[in-house]
Amino acid sequence: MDNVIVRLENITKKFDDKTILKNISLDIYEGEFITFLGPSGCGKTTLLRIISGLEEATEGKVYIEGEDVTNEIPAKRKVNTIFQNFALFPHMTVWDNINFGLKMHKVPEDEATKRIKRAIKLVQLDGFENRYPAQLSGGQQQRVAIARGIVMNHKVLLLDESLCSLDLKLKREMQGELKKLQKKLGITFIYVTHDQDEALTMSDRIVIINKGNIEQLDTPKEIYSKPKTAFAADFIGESNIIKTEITHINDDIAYIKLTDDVELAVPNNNYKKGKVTLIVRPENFNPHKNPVKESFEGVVKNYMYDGAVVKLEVEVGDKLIKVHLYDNDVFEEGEVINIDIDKNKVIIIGDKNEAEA
Amino acid sequence: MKQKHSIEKYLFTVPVIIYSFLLILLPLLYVLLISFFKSDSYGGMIYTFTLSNYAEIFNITYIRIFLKSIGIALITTVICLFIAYPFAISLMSKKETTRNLLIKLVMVPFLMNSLIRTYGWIVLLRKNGIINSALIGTGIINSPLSLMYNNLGIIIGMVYTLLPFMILPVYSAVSKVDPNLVEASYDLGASKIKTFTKIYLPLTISGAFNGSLMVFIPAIGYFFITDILGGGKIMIIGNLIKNQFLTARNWPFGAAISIFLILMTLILVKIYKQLGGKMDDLGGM
Amino acid sequence: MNKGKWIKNLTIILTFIFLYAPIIILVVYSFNQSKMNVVFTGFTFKWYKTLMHNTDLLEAFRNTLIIAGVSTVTSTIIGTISALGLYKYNFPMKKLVNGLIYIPIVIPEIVLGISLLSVYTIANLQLGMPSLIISHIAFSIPFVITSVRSTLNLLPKEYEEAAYDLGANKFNVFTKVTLPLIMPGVISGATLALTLSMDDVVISYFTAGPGSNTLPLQIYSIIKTGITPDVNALSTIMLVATIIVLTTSAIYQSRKIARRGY
Repeated sequence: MDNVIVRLENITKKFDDKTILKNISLDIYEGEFITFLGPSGCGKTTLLRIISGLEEATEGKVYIEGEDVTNEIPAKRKVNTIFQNFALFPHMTVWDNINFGLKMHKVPEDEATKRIKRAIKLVQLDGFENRYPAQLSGGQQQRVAIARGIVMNHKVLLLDESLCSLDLKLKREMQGELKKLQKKLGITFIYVTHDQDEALTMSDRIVIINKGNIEQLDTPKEIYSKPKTAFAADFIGESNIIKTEITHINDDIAYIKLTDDVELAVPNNNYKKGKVTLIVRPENFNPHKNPVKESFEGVVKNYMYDGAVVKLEVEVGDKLIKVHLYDNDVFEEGEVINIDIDKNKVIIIGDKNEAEA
Repeated sequence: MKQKHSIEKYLFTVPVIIYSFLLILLPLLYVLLISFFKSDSYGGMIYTFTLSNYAEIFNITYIRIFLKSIGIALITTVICLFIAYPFAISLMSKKETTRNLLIKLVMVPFLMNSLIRTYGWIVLLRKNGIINSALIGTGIINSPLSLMYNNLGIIIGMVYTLLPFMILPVYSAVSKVDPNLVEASYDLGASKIKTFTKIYLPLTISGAFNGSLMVFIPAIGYFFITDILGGGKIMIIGNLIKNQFLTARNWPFGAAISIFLILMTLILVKIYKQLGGKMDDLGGM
Repeated sequence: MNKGKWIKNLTIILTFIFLYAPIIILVVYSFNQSKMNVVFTGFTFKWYKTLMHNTDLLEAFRNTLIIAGVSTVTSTIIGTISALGLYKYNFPMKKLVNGLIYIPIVIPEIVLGISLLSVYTIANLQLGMPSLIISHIAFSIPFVITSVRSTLNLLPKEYEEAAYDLGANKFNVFTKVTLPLIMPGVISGATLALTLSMDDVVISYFTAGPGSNTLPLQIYSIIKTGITPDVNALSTIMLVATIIVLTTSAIYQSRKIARRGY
């Protein structure tokens, strides 16, 4: 698990005068499911293409299995890509599509046959060997694309927004399957997506990329509970992001202003007085009918029932905060409620070291 | 991707460069050059600079030919438009498979040699031809009508030969008009003519101009149609150029007329592009 | 609504009568006893037999087939390569080249005819089969280029990338992926080139020489004195042959689509 399989060193990519990726360094380990997550145009796909060799880095080096492949063509790199539109050759059958890479690498026919059969079995496409891509559903096409990649027996598979063209239900199904497949094969999946749910459910580690920079690299759990930047907090899950200040610190307790009238007391974690960004997940505000210790009042402005969760928008002073509620208390719009906070779960980012990783 | 493509780049680009320079640019530049030479009376050329060939175009004899030629081409274009639009719009009431079949059937006659097809019109149009025989036979007329060896014959021949070049782009443009728009227009109480001028025409204008271009320009040059159906009495610019090069052997003058035609073509293409037309759509069959 | 439908059908029928009238006449008269194409005096195959002895016509037909064959193959190859080159690479004067290739499509054929004739004269090229073939290649290439290019424009670049990614070299990417995928454009370009070449009168008129009469030129030279029904017979044979070829290829194509789903 600790063997580095892909190493990126100081990768910079410029298109004409635009810088797409800024000095990115990253180690990717054997057997992990790592996701590049970010909004469209953040450079995540370009980074993937630099690994596959379909794009050339302006500066920096790419190592695959310890070998410097910076100047190698895609064919010479021990990775394969699953394209967003699958790019299955429409004039070839499923079998011929999967066989294409093996033929190009001059794999002997009997071995090729064995490998194709195994790949087809793994993606559960038995019986579809002689179909053409246009005769398959989106999900089936996806499987062929994966089979075409894994049949090469490389230790890394690159997946570029591979599920985004599928409908929601199928997407959920395939997420589970992809994860299972990756475990079963024991190879590294490098997955690119703009969908945070997808990233959270499938990944061992997530790389959040924004404007060509790595914002945060962590496990899903860490990223969710301890986002290091406001961007990371905002991009993953829902957050209340409030620009405010720490008014004073009293040994173990830092006092942070929520509104002009409400101040929160949170455990001091080497904070300094001054301007900060306060991040609170909606589920870390707890609404109550009656006042509790250290609670403050707010007016319910909006009440949305969303199955397992009830989403409230509560006006506190001049702020509108998002509050999630998982039990069956019923609140009405316009009702005055009392809110307290999970003190240990608030995130405070000092204004100056926002970018600190 | 690492692109080290010097060899394929040459392989894929050198032929088109050689072709376009050697067989398009060079011949045209040479024609431009000739157009400034003088011709001698023996069909040769005197290599001195002169503008007299261009001046000669404005001779009243030639201006008449030009006007006649442009007139025939314009009428041909308008008639083609008047056939192509109703045909294309009528076709839209059919199922897609039927439409595709019918459009293929439009093309089939054009697989037959164009001269033979023109000859077919002689059989139909001449004094003792099928149309006249039928009309006299049924007693509608007493003496045969002059349907050919005049402007009428030429225009019928031109329309017939060039019609598919109009039908195809017009149909392709009409078939892209959202049927909901047409229905909405009827729904809102617009008449058929209003619907045509307000919906179809604006949305298909570049297709119509594409077709007009592909009809108008050849119609200026198709000397064989005037030769066959005009009986050799009527001249268009095509006949004029042909005569200058092959009979009168006054190449410089023929070249000057050709340059004039090229300029006219380029202006029309410019208008087409300004109407939002794409070059790759021109001449596709 | 019913009236509207009736008018539409009538419009379609009238247009087709206009398009097919001369053709049907010619086909019918190729079976006519009488030599004067006016009254149908009885069914006969005799003009098809006469055709077999009309050496001038057959010679012209043979020339036309040779010219069309050679020029179609050549212009399809050069046109396809050119379309790919213009699509993929940047080179000096690309804009000029891109503009030049449209010229044969838009300018009157007669201008292309006389300009080719002019350069053949300065190049001292004897007019004959070679000059005809070069001319036909010259006017066909742009049609192939635009046809192939329109297919290329619709082709996602990921197909080639996937092939490279799976280890194909440039030659294999071209022969196994790019070429099969642009084939429909190549074939329609070739069909266009073939049709244009077989039918060309104007450019051939200027660039043909002694002993290189083409079928259209031969017909042009006899048309004013009156065409004998054996010409009708040859045209009918050609028409039937083309229809058979087109129908078979359409059937083959639709079977292939049914089999592959694209």
